[in-house]
Amino acid sequence: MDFSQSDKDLWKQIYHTKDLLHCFNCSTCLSGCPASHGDPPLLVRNLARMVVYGLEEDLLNDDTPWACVSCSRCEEMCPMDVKPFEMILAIRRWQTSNDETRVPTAIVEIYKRGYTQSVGTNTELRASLGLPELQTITKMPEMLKLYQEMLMKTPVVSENDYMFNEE
Amino acid sequence: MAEKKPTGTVLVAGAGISGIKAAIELAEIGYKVLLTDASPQIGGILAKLDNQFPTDHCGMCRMLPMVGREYASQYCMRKGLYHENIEILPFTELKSVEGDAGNYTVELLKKARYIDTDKCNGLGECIRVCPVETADEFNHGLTLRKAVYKPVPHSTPQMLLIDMETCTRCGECVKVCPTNVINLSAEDEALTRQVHAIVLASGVKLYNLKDFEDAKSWAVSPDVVSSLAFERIISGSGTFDGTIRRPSDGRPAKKIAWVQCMGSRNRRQKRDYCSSICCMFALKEAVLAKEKGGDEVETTIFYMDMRTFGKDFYRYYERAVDEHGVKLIRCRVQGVMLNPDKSLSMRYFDSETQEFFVSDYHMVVLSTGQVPYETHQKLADLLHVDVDSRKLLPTDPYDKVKLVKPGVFLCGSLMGLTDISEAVGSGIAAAGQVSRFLSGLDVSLLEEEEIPEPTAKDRDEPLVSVVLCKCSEKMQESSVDFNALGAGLKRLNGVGEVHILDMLCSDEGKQTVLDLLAKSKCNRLLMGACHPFMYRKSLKNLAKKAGFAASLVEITDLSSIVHRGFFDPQPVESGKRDYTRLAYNDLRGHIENLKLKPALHVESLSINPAALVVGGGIAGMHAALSLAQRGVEVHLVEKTDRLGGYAGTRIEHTIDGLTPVSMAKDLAGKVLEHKHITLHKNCEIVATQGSLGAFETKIRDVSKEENFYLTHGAAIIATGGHEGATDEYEYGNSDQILTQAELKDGLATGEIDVGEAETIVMIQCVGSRQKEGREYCSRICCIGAIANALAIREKNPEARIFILYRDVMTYGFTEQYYTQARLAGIIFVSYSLDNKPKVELVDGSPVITFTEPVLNAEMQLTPDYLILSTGVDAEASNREVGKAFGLPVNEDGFFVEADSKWRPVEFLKVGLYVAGVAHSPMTLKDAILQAEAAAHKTYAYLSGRKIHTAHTISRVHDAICVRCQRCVTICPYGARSYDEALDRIIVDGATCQACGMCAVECQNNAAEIMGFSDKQIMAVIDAGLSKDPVAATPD
Repeated sequence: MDFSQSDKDLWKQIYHTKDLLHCFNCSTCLSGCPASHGDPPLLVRNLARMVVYGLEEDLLNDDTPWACVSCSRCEEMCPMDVKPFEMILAIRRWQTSNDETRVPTAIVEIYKRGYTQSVGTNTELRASLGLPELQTITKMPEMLKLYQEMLMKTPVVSENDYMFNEE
Repeated sequence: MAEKKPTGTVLVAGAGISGIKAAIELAEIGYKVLLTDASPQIGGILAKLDNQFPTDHCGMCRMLPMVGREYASQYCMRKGLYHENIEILPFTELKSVEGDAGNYTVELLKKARYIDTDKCNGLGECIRVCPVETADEFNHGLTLRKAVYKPVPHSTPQMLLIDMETCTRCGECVKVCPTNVINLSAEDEALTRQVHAIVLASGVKLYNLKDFEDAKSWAVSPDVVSSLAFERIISGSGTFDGTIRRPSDGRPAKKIAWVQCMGSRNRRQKRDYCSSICCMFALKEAVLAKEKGGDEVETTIFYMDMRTFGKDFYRYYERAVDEHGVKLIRCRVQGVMLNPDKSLSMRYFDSETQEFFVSDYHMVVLSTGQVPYETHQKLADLLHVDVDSRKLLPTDPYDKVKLVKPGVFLCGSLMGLTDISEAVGSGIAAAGQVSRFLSGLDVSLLEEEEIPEPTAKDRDEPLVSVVLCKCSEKMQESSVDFNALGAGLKRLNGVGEVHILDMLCSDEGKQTVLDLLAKSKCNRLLMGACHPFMYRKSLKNLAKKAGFAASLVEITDLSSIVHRGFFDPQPVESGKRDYTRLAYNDLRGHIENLKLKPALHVESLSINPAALVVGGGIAGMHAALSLAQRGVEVHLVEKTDRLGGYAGTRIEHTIDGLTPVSMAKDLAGKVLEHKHITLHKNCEIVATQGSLGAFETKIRDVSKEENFYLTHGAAIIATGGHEGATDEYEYGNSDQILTQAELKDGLATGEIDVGEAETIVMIQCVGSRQKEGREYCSRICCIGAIANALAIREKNPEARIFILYRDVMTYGFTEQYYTQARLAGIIFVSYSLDNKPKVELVDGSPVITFTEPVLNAEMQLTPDYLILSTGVDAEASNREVGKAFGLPVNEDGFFVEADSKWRPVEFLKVGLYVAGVAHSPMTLKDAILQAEAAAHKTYAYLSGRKIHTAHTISRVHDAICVRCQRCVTICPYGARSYDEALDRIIVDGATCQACGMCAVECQNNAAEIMGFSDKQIMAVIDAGLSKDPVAATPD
């Protein structure tokens, strides 16, 4: 690999924070990462290196950031406060805005009803425990409108606005 | 009559090794020292360390004075320290410091021990009856202790105390104490003292699993221990009698892992520094584990950078890995998991195979580092100063031991965790600074001991006076029959008188002895008393006052026999050991010895009060000025025509804001002006002869092509070093390939323009840390490369800078520069020795290919400049200088000091010292610290105080000596030499330590240790084995 082909300022596009530059490849993020058990494993440290080196093509094609289970243990343990979990999210965002195939199917659901998980399955259990019924934004049209306007300001939604066309 | 000047008094707060060293050095030149420690004992961390790198043995006693050694205590220093001029106050806290430079009032709080340790016999009956059990701090909670306990089990005398936090006040100890020294209602005592100077040596807090939130996740099992606790586990005096067992169930630990950087190198926890000593500490422990546990023990160290930056550290690392098979894994592990079988598992990533592994261990050792800020803040508050931008005590920019507050100095781990040699060196340097400071005040020194002249009485027929102390009535009742003992001894040939007294240690007892001895006709004296460690000196003084020659006085530990008899549970009737006989044989041996012993007299050395300093670099100039300021005449010899050396002529700025060139100019100005310094430029050392106090050195003035001689009492070697050379990586074949120094010069002069550069690559460890080449770390290149990289960055923020390194050696607080460099976008990529980067020239420009270790990928760079860190070479002239002085130079060309840990600036040959890069590659501040230390060691002999040889030294019987010179070869101190002109073996009386190696080696008994003749030794053995009855009094 020739470094002259790499983009030295790529990190500024992906994760523009000094926190990233503190990374000294100590591997703390790796050794206890649940997603590192996957195949291929999520190797947070390696992703940080790829961002710093500016290996655009490799990064764009790397699926492992999507294996992160959001436990944020790397965030807690990182001795250099690189905030690796933030970096993983940043890589996902960057991948998505540079490769439309990365846009998750659920994006329409999110836009239309504000949630992707099932909220109805535990209704009886909640009632038996005396807990109130879960509220969803779809029941509050005013709020839903605001919410959708807000989403529309994010690049991933606005650049793909054709998906949300109501007509 | 003029008012008597006050005696110069120094408070040394902290009695770890740096504090002890500072105290000894100050006491030796005649100052009164108050040595305090907040803990109940002295010795600091070293009290717990049985084994020290690189010998893996203990050598603490090597800190003791080598000349005039009989005037300080000569005991195992891990047991304790005894010196006439040092008042030791353990368990004493510094509460306040008021006043100005040279006139400080300090308030101390001496905490109650509830036991009068002066009178306690240390036999621990109280411990036996105490019903309370609690965790023992000395063994890091791995063992239990009672509420009344010995803080350091091996200290002498036994400094017992009661821990009132756990004491139930049951009073059992009071009842059983034979000496009535327990007072449960004792109170803390506030003391106020006037001191002229203060040395802070309190050390720093260490990271631990109890006090730190981020450490909690590691506390999963008792088998996860700190490195200091591990030290107790493998100690012969520790928890498991030296075999390696895991604390949880005492089963052998065969697989042990060390986890580095525990608590350190952690920006998230605001501890972005390196603790400096842990890498060597872990390597040493791993080697020891192998040595003590056998080859089947597996040791693994999880590390980030193996920081083997000190002298000979790298060779130790090589031995650990190659010979002992210590496994190193470059991975910071996230945590440890406890398995049902009590083993501990850790998961790590192997970059080479890009695979994860889970390994099980019996024990996990955490390399816990320093936590300095709290201690520094506390001390800063006490002294009414502000901490500096690093949140540490504000020190002089060049002088690590000098606080900005005049008259206050610091040493040891307050400078950042130090290894033993730095701690000892800083202790000497701090003493040197104190001595310089006090030389400007109107204070006096303690009076020197008068050495009596030999008298005719000494040569008379031997007649021994025996003085025995019963210690306490209660003791002797059931053990030793003093009447029978006295009568028996009195009947021996050559015994003139026997006196049996009580409480010899009391003032009253001492006066009684003095009165008795003043009237004595005897010329030899045997005293049977207690605690010879503590009382030897005062009893010897007593004997001297009564007119006995020091060499004809023996003091023996009678109390141990009396006490052993007292506590022997066997009743006399059932064949209890005859303690009276035991005492009789012991005393008789001493009497026979005294009868055969000649009167030995010390020689007062004639000291030429001038010093020679070889090398006019910053270390040499600093040492010269330090001596000259105290009135010592100094000859400064420099082989070139200018002062400054390498750093003082080549390095304009350092990363920590120092300006060596301008500093050297400033020093040179002072050197040239100083009335006590004579500068000899363009001069080389040809040859030296002589010994401490009387050296003569032949010097060649190269410019005038003539020789001349200088006489001097001592010398400091400060010959320095320079940037190493290389022909690796196509150096010399392209003007785009430069050394770090060439880059630095080029950037300063503007000859190298990096403004347009796109990529710059630096390669570290060029020709260093490898078998062929410099087999050592040059210590300064990582920081130097970072400084240059940051300088480039300033001129060209867009340039990509890569530093290819093996281990980033930014130890201690220099870690911040590594962090700063990464933050500036400089990219660090590690390479391994067996896979070095490859450099090719393509159209005259360098192309570098290397394996990127994180991604395990082949990478290529085509930089505008390739910069090589070629390390530090010793001066080529070191070999000639070494030969001239008879000093050893190692295979790397650096001088070999007497002891790498305990005598860092001394040579084995007394009177010769080393400072700066002549010793090993080091930073400017470390060189200045060593220069101060070497100057102080020199000053101690040239200060005008009398220097005596010891009574007991070796000598040569010329008539039976065959000049085979085997004694010369074997002498570990270099005290013996063959004088060709005289055809004789010469013994340097100051250097000889009477170890006896020559006497053992000599086939003809021509080498003898004075006062240790074969005849004497045989007589002592005969008496000891004698079955003669203790004659009962017939009348």
